[in-house]
Parts: sequence; structure tokens; C-alpha cells
Amino acid sequence: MVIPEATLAVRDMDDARDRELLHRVRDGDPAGEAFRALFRHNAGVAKTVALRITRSEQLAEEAVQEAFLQLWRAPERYDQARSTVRRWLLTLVHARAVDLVRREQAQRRRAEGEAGTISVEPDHADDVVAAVARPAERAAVHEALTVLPAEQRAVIDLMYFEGVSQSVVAERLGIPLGTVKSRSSLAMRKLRGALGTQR
Amino acid sequence: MRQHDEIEELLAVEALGGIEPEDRARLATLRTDHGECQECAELEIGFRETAAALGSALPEAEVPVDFEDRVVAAALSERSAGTPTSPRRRSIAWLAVAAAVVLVALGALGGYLAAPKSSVAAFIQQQGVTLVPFKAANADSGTMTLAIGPDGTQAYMIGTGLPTPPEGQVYELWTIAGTTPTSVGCAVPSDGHVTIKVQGDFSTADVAAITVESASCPAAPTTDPVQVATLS
Repeated sequence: MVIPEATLAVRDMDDARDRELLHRVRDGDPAGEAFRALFRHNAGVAKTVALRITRSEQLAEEAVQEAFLQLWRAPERYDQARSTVRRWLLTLVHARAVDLVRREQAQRRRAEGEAGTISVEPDHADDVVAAVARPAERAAVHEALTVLPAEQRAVIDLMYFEGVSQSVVAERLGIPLGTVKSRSSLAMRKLRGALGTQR
Repeated sequence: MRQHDEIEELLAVEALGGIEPEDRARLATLRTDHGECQECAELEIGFRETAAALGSALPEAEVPVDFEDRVVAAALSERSAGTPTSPRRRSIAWLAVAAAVVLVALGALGGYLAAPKSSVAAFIQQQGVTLVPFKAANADSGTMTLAIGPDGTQAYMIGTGLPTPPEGQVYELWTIAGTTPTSVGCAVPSDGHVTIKVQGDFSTADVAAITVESASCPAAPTTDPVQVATLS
């Protein structure tokens, strides 16, 4: 799959604007105007990612806030040779959301005094694809996900979109942990090629 | 399994957010043992990018305006309170510490203290906090926000980009109920920043205003407001 040039151009323009804003944050941004503009441009999708993992408005906002504050405290950590600003931010949000969910789960397990009941969730990949917004990116993600074998897609869905750890994915899907890892790797190689993230 | 294949699998799981502590440690050990590996480094970046690309194509959730205000206020309050920041900001942080000393000294007159970072952040993140932006009289008057606590008696005044008042003068915050102004406190910004905790009756006041006054922090305003916020 090749992402259309027009899509790349829009993405590049968006990223150029984000980079300029990040540059202003790095230079001090005394009134927080550039930071606010960065937030306004990226918080919506950041919150979506966090919501998919936390399934909680409060935790999602906490994850988004902490990710943006990480950016605010250390904007120099962004490496423009490696990623767009948005993707870097989403990496921060995703990691924070996963941490928050696991902390909550651990607290709940401690409170219940047991490991908790694990239920098998339905595959949400189609739902994820259906909810994708921008047409060109939607098409790219749709095609990338649909060409994956169902068993690989299920791993991506649980692990990335639901923030589930590798052991829990294995339990939910009823497969060995080693298989979860190999499916993750195979799926990510395919997605990487399909989404043009070969840097 | 080849060492490189295992590294690749763990990098994929890590990028997807599913890795657990044992395997994170195993990945670190494997990479150390494996030595310089350009392909591993490229895979790590590529997998992270791939995971983020999946997320970046999702629809945008609704973001309430007050959430945006809270995050921006939390960021600005960290800087005003001198949180460790990037090297470029360190000079600002040091000046903020100096400002805190000035504010403590003025506290005896104005009844407020400079706010530690953790208390500002905790205060702003409480349920029921109202963020009220001030409107500046001039474009170069800086930005002021009042974060009013749930019970309406405590607030943080957070300012950035504020001009330094003339020698011997301070910014004074007022609440005004009807036509009666009540002094809430005085502050001197450092490098344009100020974060102070104040006490007052914010729930019944109609307006909050900031004037430039003498360092004696007078009981009634003597100049026109440079910033005004509507409270009710």
C-alpha cells in the first residue's frame, strides 16, 4: 500500500506547524500560547487514544495532561529525525495511559484480594477501523489492518487499542506467550511496511 | 531462537505497550549482549512510529475548553514555581525562585505566600476548580488567570508575560462586590511570572481586578485596573 502524495503533503504541513509551535515552547513561550495551540491541535486524537485504553474520561484526561506536561518540561526530547510531533505525543500518551490502567488494575486486584476474572473480549479491529476519521488515513489504516491475518489483528487490537499486557493477551486469546510475541512482531513488520513508517 | 529475532519480538511488544517488567529487563540484556545493531535501532523507531500511526488516524475526541485551560494553567504554574525544566528554561526557573523569596517577604503585608509547585498542581486538579481568565487593558499587559477553589474562598493567581511594575510598586488583586473593592493580596512578578495563593470571598464577588499600587498594598485602589475578570 502506498499512501497518496496528497495525504503526505497534508501530514507534512500539519507537522511543520506543530514543529514551529514546539520550537516556540522550547524557546520559552512565556504566555503558553504555543503550548496551548499544540494542545488544541493534538489533544483530541490524544484523548481518543487514551480513552480506548483507559475507558475512563478521568484517566484519559490524566494521561493526556501528563503527556503534554512532559512535552512542556522537556521539549528538547523530541527528535524530528525520528517522528512527527503528533506521533511523539501519542507515544507519550499511550505509554502513560497504559501505566494508569495497569496501576488501576493492580489496585483493584489488591482490593479484591484475588487476580480477578478475565473475560474474553470480542475483536474490536473492525470497530477501530470504522471509527477512523480522515479518509486517506482511514483507508491506509483500514487496508493495513485488514490485510493482517485475524489472529495477528486480534493481538494488535488488544495490546495497542486496549492497553492489555502480553500475558493477559495470551490468557484472553488462549495462546502461549511466545505466540503472542511472534504474532506481535509479524504484525508490526507488516503494518510498518503498509503505513510507510520505514524510517 | 536467534538473539536478533527475540529482540525484534520484544521491540514489537514494547512499541504496542504490552511488555511486562521481566521482558523489558530481558530486552535490555539482549541488546547489551547483541552489541551495536543498526537494524535493532531502526526497528525500535519504526515500530514506535507504526504504533503511533495507528493512533493518529483515529477520530478526535471532544476536549472541553476547561480541560485545555487546566492543562495550560498547570504548565504555567510549574514554570512559575520553578519546576526543573529544560536547560533553556533554567534561568527562568531561578528567577522564579527569587520571586518566591520576594513574595514571602510581601506576604506579611498582603497575606499570601508563594506557592510550592506540588500544591498548585494539586489545587488546580481538584474537582470543582473554576478557571477565570482576566481581560487585559492593553495587549502588553500579560496573561492572568484566577483558579478558584471549590469552596470559593481560596484561589491561585497565575500570571505570565507580566510587565515589571515601576520601582516601589506591586500588582494588587481585588475582589469587587457591587462597588466595594476588597484587597486580596499583592505580588511582584519575576521575569513576568507570578503564582500566588490568595484567600477571599470569590463566590459572592462580581469582579476581580488587578491594579498597580504602591508596595504598601493599600486598602483601596488608587489606579485603574490593568486586568479584569468577571466572577459572576
